[in-house]
Amino acid sequence: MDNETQMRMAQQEFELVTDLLHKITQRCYQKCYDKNYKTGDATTKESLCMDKCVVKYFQVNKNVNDKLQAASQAKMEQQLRAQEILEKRRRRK
Amino acid sequence: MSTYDKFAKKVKSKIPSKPWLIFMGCSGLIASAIYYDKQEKKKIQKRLIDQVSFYANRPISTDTHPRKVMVCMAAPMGTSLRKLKVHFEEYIEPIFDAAALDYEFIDSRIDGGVRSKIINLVHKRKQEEADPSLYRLPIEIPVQPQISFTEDLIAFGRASYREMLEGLNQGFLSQPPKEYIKDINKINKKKKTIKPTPDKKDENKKKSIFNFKKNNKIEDKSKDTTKIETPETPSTPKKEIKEEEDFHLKFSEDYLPDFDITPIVGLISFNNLVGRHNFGRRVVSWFNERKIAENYGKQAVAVVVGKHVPFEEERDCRLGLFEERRVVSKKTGPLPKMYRMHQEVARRLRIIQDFGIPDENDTERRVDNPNKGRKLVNAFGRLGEPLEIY
Repeated sequence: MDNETQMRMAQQEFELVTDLLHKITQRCYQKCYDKNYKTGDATTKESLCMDKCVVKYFQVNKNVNDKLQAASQAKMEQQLRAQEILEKRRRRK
Repeated sequence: MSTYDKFAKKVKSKIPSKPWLIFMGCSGLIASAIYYDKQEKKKIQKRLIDQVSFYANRPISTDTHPRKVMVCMAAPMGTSLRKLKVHFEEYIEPIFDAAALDYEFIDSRIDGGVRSKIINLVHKRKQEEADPSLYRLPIEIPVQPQISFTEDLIAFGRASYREMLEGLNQGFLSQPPKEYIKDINKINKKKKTIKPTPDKKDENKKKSIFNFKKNNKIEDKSKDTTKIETPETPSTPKKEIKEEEDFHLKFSEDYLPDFDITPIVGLISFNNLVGRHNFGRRVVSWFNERKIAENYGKQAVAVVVGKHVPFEEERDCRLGLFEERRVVSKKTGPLPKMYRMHQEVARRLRIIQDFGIPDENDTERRVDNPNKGRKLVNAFGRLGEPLEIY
């Protein structure tokens, strides 16, 4: 692979990771943090909520990716079968 | 016609008939009893949650995890696992959530599933101690390791308590199978021999399942049955022998861990009203959920406070035995047999005290035996004494 393509891929990956991090922190902050701000440190409840939020986010992400992959694979297989049927018909002719 | 008769006639024309009145009276009674019970239950749960909520509001640094508890669930006698989970969700989960106590289930639908999972936990700990690189994370994060006995083991119900104790006992006294050990010599370290002390109490005690002497390994009896070889298939018996050797665990005092491992156990007794004779109690419990909530709540608060004392075999192996006796519908009489652990294993355990007063200023969890030798009466129903519920 060229250096340029490697750099582009690395940059893309970096952007994806920062985007993911930004989304997770925003979503989990909205859901978990108490807006009263009695202390500067995170409380036990908030930190536990954040842990669970992050784990859930990754799990949902993984489930969605798995389903998308399965759907795309099923589509590929369908296309392959259709192509095979067309070829068989051509051979008979 | 007197004024009273006129009044009665007016009223009778407007109110429903006698059967309808009876029906409305009975249904109103039942509905009001249930409504009152639910309101009181909410108040009780709110009181307990307020007692415990300061744990959730304490600050915590980013490099430590909140306290975690492993809840063991095995199906009790006569009921299913689902009922345990329903009771947990309804009565115990609100208190754990209010105190920000993280919990994870160790459950299984199979008999002995919880035991095998706990045996695996103990074996993993032994392997980790022998070879720390096995479970190390790729990036060094200063966080408590997941696989260790820093988590407390809480059993819900007598069946899960017994399986938990069995798992701990067998895990301590056995080694992981050879397939899962890279270098077995690391785990088999040299240990000091444990000399038997000639006490009078030992003579009176019943013989335990594991009667050990120095360097004596107990082998599984199933090995003896595999010596017979059939002439038709000479190759298969050898394979069967190997599979059985790997499958069955060998128990020995030599496998006791010499590193510091003190599992903290606890029990939340389950209100198991099963059987024909407990039908009346079950019907009454529908109208007394507030008392059930209070009892479960006290036990949950004790787990949240988490003060632990040394494990005493005579007292603590009998916890929750009354559950079994109730299912058999005997109010009095001898208790079922208690499970006997090895003394060295019992010496290393600690058990959570079954009453706890949440105190912001009191952060110390370790307690050195305040009630040694005394019988304790409390929500757990020690030594066969029943709970105050139906």
